[in-house]
Amino acid sequence: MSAHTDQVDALSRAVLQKVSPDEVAHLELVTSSFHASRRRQRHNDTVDPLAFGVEAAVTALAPIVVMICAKVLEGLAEEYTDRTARRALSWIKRRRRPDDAVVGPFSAEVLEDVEEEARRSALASGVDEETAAVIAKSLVAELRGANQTGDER
Amino acid sequence: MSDRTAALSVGSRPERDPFRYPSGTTVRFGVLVLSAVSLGVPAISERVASLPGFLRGEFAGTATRNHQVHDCYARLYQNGEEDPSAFAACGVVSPVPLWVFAVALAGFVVVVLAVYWLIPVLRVRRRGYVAIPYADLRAELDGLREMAGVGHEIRWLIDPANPRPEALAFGRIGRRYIMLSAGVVALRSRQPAAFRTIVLHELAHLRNRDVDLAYLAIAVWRVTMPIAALEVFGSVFAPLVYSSNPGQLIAGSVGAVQTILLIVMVPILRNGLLRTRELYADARVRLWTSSDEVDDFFSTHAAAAPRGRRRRRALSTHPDLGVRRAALRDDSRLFQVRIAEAFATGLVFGIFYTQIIRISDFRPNSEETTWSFVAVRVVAVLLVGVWSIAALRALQTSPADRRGSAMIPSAVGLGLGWSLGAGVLNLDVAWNLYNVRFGVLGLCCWVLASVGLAIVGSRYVHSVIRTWFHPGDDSRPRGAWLGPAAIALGLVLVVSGVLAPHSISELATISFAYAFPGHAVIYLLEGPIFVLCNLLVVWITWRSVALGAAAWVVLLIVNSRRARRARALR
Repeated sequence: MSAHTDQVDALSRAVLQKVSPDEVAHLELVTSSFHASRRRQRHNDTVDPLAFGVEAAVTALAPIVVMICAKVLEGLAEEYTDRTARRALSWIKRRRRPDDAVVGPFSAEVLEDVEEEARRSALASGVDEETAAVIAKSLVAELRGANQTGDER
Repeated sequence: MSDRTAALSVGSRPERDPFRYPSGTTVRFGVLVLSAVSLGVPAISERVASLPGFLRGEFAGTATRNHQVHDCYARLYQNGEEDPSAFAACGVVSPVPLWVFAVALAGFVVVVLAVYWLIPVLRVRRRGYVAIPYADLRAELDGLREMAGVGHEIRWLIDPANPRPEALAFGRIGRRYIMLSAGVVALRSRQPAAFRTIVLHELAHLRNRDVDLAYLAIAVWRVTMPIAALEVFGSVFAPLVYSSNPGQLIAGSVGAVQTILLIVMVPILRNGLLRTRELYADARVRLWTSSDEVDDFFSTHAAAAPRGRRRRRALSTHPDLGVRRAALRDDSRLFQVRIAEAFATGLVFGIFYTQIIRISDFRPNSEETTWSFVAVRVVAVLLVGVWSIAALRALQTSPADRRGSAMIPSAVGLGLGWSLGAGVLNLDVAWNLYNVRFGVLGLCCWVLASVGLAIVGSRYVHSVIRTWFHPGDDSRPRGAWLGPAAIALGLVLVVSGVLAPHSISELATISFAYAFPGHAVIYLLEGPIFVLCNLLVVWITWRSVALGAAAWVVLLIVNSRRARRARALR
C-alpha cells in the first residue's frame, strides 16, 4: 500500500460517509478491487453482453466515489510534480503514477477546478445531476478541511 | 425454507409450460452448431488435405487437378459428347478423404471445448471478480438457490467496481458461478424485490440449463470466425486462379456467397440464441414469483436507463425491454417458430447438406452418390425433428387447431431456406446449370416440391403428434412414442426422396420432350400421396403402436418400389 492509495481510501471513505453511508461497509472491497485493477492496467467499464441485460441507472456510488477520488488526487499530484520537478525529468514524472500523498494547501482556484472535474466525472459515470453535485461538493469540502488542518499545523 | 421463500415458491403455474419440450434456445443452438460445422470443418479439411502436396512443393496440386477435370467435363458437355469413356479420360475429381474430415471435425470439437472450458477462468481473472465475503448475503443467496431448485453448488462472486445493477450466470459443467455487481448488492437493502428478481433471473439460467448452450455458442463463434475469414478469400479467388470455365466461376461465386451467408448467420444465430434464453429465464422467474416483480423491475429501471446505447435488434444479445415485458404478459412468443427462424434453419440444413456431399467425388449431372444418399437422410431426420418440436409447441398454444394451420408460415420458411441452401447455393447444381443445362425449370419444380413437401410434412407431423400426445396429459403409457417414431422414420424416407437435389435432374425431364411426360407429375405427387395414406392409417389406429409400425413397413415397401421405378425410368 502506498501513501497515495491510503489517501484515496481515506478520502473515499469520508466522501461516501456523506453521500451514501450504507455503502461504507463495502468500501474496503471496492477500493481493493479498484487498486488491483489499476495495477493490472485494466479498466472494467465495458457492458457484459451476457449480463442481466437491463442498462439501468447507477445504483451503487462507492465505485464511482473511489474512481473520482483517485482521479482528483492523481491530478493534484501531477500539478505538484510539474511545479517542483526539473524540466529535463518532468516528462518522466508526468507519466509515472504518483505514489506519494498529496499535501495541501490548495488554492481556491484549484478547489474550484476540482469540483468541476469531479462533477463532470460523476455525470460521465451515469450519476444524476443532483448526486453528482453532492459528490463534488463533499469532495471539495474534505480537501478544504485538509487545508484548514494544514494551516493550523 | 423461510416464509418469504416459501411464499415465492407458491407462484401461479400457467396451463401451458414453456419448459416441457425442447425450447427455442435448444433449436437455435443446434442450428448454430450445424452452421459453424458447415463453415469450419470443410475449410480445415481442405487445408489439411492440401498440406502434403504443399510440403512437396505442389502449391496448388489437388485443387488445380480438380479444376482441370471440371473444365474437361464442361468441354465434353458443350460439345454434346455422350460417350462415357470420353468422360472417364478426363480423370476423377479427388474428394477430400473421409479421415481428413473426421480429424478436422474432432479438432474443431476439441478446440471449441477447450475455449468453453477456459472462458470462466479467464473471465474471473480479467474482470477482477472476487468471492462474496459477506456470510449473511451468501446465506440469503443460497436460500434463493434452494428455492429455485438448483441442486449443485454455486460460487457467488462480486464485481466490486461495477456500479450498475448487473449480474451474470456463467461457468462450465461442474463449476457454476453467479456474479453480482456492486450495484446489485446495493439494491439488497434499498429495493429487495429488485435484488431478488435479478438473482432469480440468473438462477433461472442455471435451472434452464442454458448457460452451457450460451458459452458453447460463444466458443463456437470464437473458433469459427478466424477460419471463416480465411475461407471467404479462398472460395472467391480459387476459381479465378485455376479455371477459365464460366460454370466453374459461377460455382466458385456460389461457394463464396455460401461462405459469406454462413459468416453472417453465425453471429446472428448466436445473438438470437442469447436473446431467446433471456425470455425463457424471465418466464421461469415469472413461475417462481407470485407477483409481477419482474415487470415492475423492468418498468422502473427501463425509465432510468441511460439513452443512446441500444444496438440494432439482430445484433443485440438481449431482447428490448418492450419485448421482454410483452413476453411476460403473453407467453405465446415462447411457443412460436417464426418464418425467419424457420428460413434460417432450412438454409443451414441445406448448406450442411452441400458440405456433407463434398466428401463424395464429383459426379456430373448431379447423380446420387453414397454421401449424398447419407446426407439427405441425415437432413430428413433433422427436418422431422424440427417439425416435431414446432408441432409440440404449436399444440401447446392451440390444442384445438386440428389442421396445424399455424405451422404453415414456418413450413414455407423452412422449404424456401432449404431450397436456397441445398439447391441455389449448391456448387454442383450451379456447375450443372451452366454446363449440363439440365434446366432452370427443373430447379424451379424442385423448389416448389420442397416447399410443398415442407407444408404437407409439417401438417402431417402435427396430426401425428396431436393423435399421440396431448400436451399436459401424462397418462400416455410408456412406449407410446414407438408409433410416432416409426411413422417419423417412414416420413424420413419419403422426405429424403423428394428433397434430394439430385432429383433436380429427374425433374428436368419436364423440359425434355423425349422424356416420359407423366414422370415429373408422378414424382411430385408421390410424396404427398404416401403421406396422406399414412395420415389415414394414423387416424384409424390412433392408439395402436403396432399399426403405427405397420404403417412404417408399408412406407418402406412403397418407397423401395418408388426407387425401383425411378431407376427403371433412368
